[in-house]
Amino acid sequence: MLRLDKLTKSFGGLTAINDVSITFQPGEIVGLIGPNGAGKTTLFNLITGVLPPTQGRVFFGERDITGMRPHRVARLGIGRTFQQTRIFHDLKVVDNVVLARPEVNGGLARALCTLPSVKRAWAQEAIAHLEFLGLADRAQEYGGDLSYAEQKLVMFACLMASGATTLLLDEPTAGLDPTSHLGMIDTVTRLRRPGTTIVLIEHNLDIVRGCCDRVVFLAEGAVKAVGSTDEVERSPELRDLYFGTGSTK
Amino acid sequence: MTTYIVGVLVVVMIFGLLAVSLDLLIGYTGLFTIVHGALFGMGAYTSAILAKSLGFGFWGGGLAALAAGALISLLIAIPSLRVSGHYLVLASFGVQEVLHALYLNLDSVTGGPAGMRGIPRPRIFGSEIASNTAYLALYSVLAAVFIFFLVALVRSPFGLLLKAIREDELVPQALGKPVVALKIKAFMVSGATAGFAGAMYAHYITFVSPETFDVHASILILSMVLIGGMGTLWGPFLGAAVLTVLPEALRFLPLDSTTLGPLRQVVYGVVLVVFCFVRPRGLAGGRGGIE
Repeated sequence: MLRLDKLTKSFGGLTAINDVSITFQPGEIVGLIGPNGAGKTTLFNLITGVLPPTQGRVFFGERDITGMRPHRVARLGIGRTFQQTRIFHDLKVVDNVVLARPEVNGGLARALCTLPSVKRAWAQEAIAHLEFLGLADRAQEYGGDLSYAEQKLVMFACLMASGATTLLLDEPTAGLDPTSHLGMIDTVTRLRRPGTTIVLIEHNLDIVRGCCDRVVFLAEGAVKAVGSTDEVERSPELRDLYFGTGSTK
Repeated sequence: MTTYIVGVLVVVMIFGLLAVSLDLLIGYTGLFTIVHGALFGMGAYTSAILAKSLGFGFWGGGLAALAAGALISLLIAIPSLRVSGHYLVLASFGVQEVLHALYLNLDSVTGGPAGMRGIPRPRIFGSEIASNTAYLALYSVLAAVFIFFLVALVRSPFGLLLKAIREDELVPQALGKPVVALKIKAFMVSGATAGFAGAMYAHYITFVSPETFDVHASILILSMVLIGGMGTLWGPFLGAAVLTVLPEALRFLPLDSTTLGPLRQVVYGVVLVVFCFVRPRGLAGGRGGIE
């Protein structure tokens, strides 16, 4: 369970996140929607320790993880993807995925003592993750040689290999052509595991409708509405922002 | 003549090791530094001082030089890795200058500008290494051991992480990797290797003096890495061979020493510029490094 308690983040005079309290339950897929500048990505940065909050706390399970360094947060099982594709272009795709394993942790002696058989097993598991996402045939290519959409999927394979139990996905469809959108609903849904929480930042309401159990609508740094997709879509604030004032049906 | 050629090859082993150790930082981890000459000197002075004052031999001095290289790298790394890119170049250059000033001015410890003479030759199984051929045999084995270790390191999961950091620091963190600790470790391994190369140098030349470890040494080692090809390990070794042999070959031109000195500098310059245009990825044409 991931719980945000009265989280606030100010950049000088600008309040990017204002008193946000949300609880994400294990097993659910939550859509985080809102206009540009609503503070969605900032919220991810606060959860993952990239930015320290001005006020408020972040709890993961019972543990207070506020202000923890990003790599420690990640080790607890909170994984994220980035809006732009960020995979390692000069590494093979399979190595991109192997790298994400928690065993690859920077221990020198341990790394030197990793047996070839163990490395092969890691590579096989990585290829299995890639296969799950339909990328097994690209495993031996360099990350930079893959298409934009494929690189996005590699980020998912990395999350799978990392063993993260809470996945924060930052606009996985950004920059993809509309035909890939349906595939993304399928991919996100397939990442769902018992006990895994997925938080999805998304502009496209069709995708949110397609895979989310619950939606949080964020605007101007504050939670404006929470509920099922239908409920949130009916909220006056969202109608206002997405369709213009006065549009009622 | 053979002795002379073998002697040049001994120097190739020492500088090869230096270039390979710097490649771990520049080529694999993407940390561009100009302090390798001073780290080399740290190892040379450590083993020289221990030999002169405490009677240490090559092996004891070499281990101490290894430790000194690692320790000084740790001390440099902790504050300087807070900055990156151009700032790291400047910070490391600053450390290079400070260390060189210490070698030059701590007369009571380092012998000041006059340096230290009479450093004993290595002994192995009770017999002294005296001939250049024996040096070449010993030093190529030692260089091979270190290079084998570094190759194993860059091919290990640790090396994978270094290459990842070279490209992007945020993503490895988001995947739970301790980026700063990784950089410090890479720095320490590189510094330890450079320190050991310093001990090899001190116990071969049997004399150390500050000008060997000034900023020009750092730039020379850096040039070896760039010409050889960053991120390949064997490329920088080749680069070290080229930049050691080429100036030696100039000796055979019918020129007096006042022309020869500056001519060497010109050759370095020309070689570097030519490589920048013709083969920017170096002889080995590696995939790594900072572009």
